[in-house]
Amino acid sequence: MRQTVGVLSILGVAAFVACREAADSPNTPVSAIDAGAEAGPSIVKDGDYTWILPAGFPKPQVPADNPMSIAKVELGRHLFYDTRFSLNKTQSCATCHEQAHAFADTRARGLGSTGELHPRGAMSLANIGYATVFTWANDLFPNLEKQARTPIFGEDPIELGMSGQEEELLTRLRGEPRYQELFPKAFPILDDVDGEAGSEVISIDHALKALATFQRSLLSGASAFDRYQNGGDPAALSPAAVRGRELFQSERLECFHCHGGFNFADSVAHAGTAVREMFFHNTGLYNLDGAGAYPADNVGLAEVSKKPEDMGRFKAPTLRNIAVTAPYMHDGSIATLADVIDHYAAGGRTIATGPNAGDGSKSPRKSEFMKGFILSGTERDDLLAFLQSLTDETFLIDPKYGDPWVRP
Amino acid sequence: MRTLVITLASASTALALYACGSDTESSSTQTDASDGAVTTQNVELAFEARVGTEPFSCTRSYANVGTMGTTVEPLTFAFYVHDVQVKTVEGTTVPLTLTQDNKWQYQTTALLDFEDKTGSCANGTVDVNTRVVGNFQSASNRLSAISFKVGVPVALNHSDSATQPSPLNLSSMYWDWQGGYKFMRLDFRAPSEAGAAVTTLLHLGSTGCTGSTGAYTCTNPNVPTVTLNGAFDPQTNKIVLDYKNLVQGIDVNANAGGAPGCMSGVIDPECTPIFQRLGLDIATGNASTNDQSAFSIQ
Repeated sequence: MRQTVGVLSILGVAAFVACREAADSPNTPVSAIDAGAEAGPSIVKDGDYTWILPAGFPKPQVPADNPMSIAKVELGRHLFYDTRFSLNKTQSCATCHEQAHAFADTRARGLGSTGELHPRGAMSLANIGYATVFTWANDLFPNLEKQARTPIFGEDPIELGMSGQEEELLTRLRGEPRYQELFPKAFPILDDVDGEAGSEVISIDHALKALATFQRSLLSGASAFDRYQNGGDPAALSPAAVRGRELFQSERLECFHCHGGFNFADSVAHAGTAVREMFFHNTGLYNLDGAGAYPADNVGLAEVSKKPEDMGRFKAPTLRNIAVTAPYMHDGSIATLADVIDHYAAGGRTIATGPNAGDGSKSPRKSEFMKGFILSGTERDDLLAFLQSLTDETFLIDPKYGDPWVRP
Repeated sequence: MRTLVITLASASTALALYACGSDTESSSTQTDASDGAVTTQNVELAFEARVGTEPFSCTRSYANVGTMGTTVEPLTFAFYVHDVQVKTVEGTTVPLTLTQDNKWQYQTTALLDFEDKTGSCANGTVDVNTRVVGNFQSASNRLSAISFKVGVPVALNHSDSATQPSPLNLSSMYWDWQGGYKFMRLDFRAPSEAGAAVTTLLHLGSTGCTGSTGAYTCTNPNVPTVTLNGAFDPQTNKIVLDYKNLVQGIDVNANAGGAPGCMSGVIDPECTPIFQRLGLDIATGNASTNDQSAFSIQ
């Protein structure tokens, strides 16, 4: 074993050209977050589809067997809003994923087409094309195509209730004149093989692919924060929101560890991703037994993995549009954003009485970043102002994401 | 040294995916060019993460760590290096040109990632990378010293991670609060019988940064320069980072103040002894008078 010896002067040249001399203590809060220069969206062609990527957004990852196309997005939009996808024709994907709420809804927990309450709430689909984890606590879906089967065909809980009803669904879709046109346009190769726009082109596989393609088109990056950061508009954020952003990015609060980057989320991938990251976190919401147990119907990733250490571990959702997706957490158990901040400040939630009683801040399973912090009232308001600045108002009303079955 | 050889062999097997090819193997055999002509020398520099004398693994714990002799288990273990240089036996020092693999190496920067998402490294990635692959121009491939800097070069440190190529686009290694990267992320925890584990998070990165994307300046660079003197045979030697050495001056079973562990804060009590072992002056973030002790050739 050799010892490390002294610095070779010939090698030890460290040229930190861009770093100025230490003038003040770097431990004081720093403003790493000034308003940025103006940078418009980037236009990226992808087949006949055009990505209009908000400034700072990379090109999304798209499966090789399901490339983007204008026709497929349009077909997917029709399917997304089509109540024929529920057995009793009462619900579509859009029932729980409402555009006005960034494609989430306002229920604590999802309500299925047969009246069954889902253990967890509907998640926002904004920028879902960048996600590596698509639901609250399942790491087994490789892509949106596979994920889409669950709400349609799942039996526990029943959402759209189409389990075993593939033929019924196809009969319904094949009976719709618009689909006679939209499916062959979206999947022209099969059409060529068949020689005619036959019924085979209207398939479950194609429907799932089109639904995934439409979801990938749901890009949200035009909030007040974006106008401040990339839109050359320093006035887009209030002074309170600017201060709130500094708090958000601080090591004191640690928000950014899980809600960092352009999508304010950590389980993110895009076209340039070579190492796939999937993360789940226990935020100390429950601690039923002192060992970190969550309520039996919502044990997080442990439900899939059956590993005790995955107890209570859930996806960190994007914080874009977070102000319009209340209530919060996987089970909607926190009503307001202010209460969410208080939960993180406490380093976990204490429930005094009832079946879920326990001190989540003492959970042995909670994330290493759930250490708690103290915020003044003003700081709490500032942080709220920042979170509210992440709402992209145009996304919530953009007609290209709207219901195509409604005639104006 | 038997243990080390076995470890190296298993690491090589695990990394058989790397298409370094036969030319790498042949050139890593140590032979002096008889005519003294400068040629391209391919080389793979193996890195190993250790806790004391024990190889790093996500599926085990490590006893007797820190001032209180605590048992800890890993959460993650990854760091960037850049500007790798090698010195050959003739005394010339030349830069290593990294193979651009679109995954672990970009320009002069490489990411070394030892956690594999097993065991306690639940929030990790399956992929691991334990070596730096490249070539250099020299008449000889017999190495007498290796140097590198830990972290991401300043020219890349404040670029937009979302649009950077791999390995600069990993959310787990981006450090939003300073608009740059975590140069080093070594996170461990000490399990507690009563309640939440005590975590010691070591996040090294430039601090005191101001600006916006692409145009930041930082008061404290916090980029360690590591120089390892001594013959280095790529077939048998490796560059070892010892976590136990890094934290031997702190109590990893309690947070003495500031961030839990050391997030490069100047007045964080855990940072001073850790920075010392990285050869950094905590006040300025520049090289200190003492050399680093955490990395060695083994």
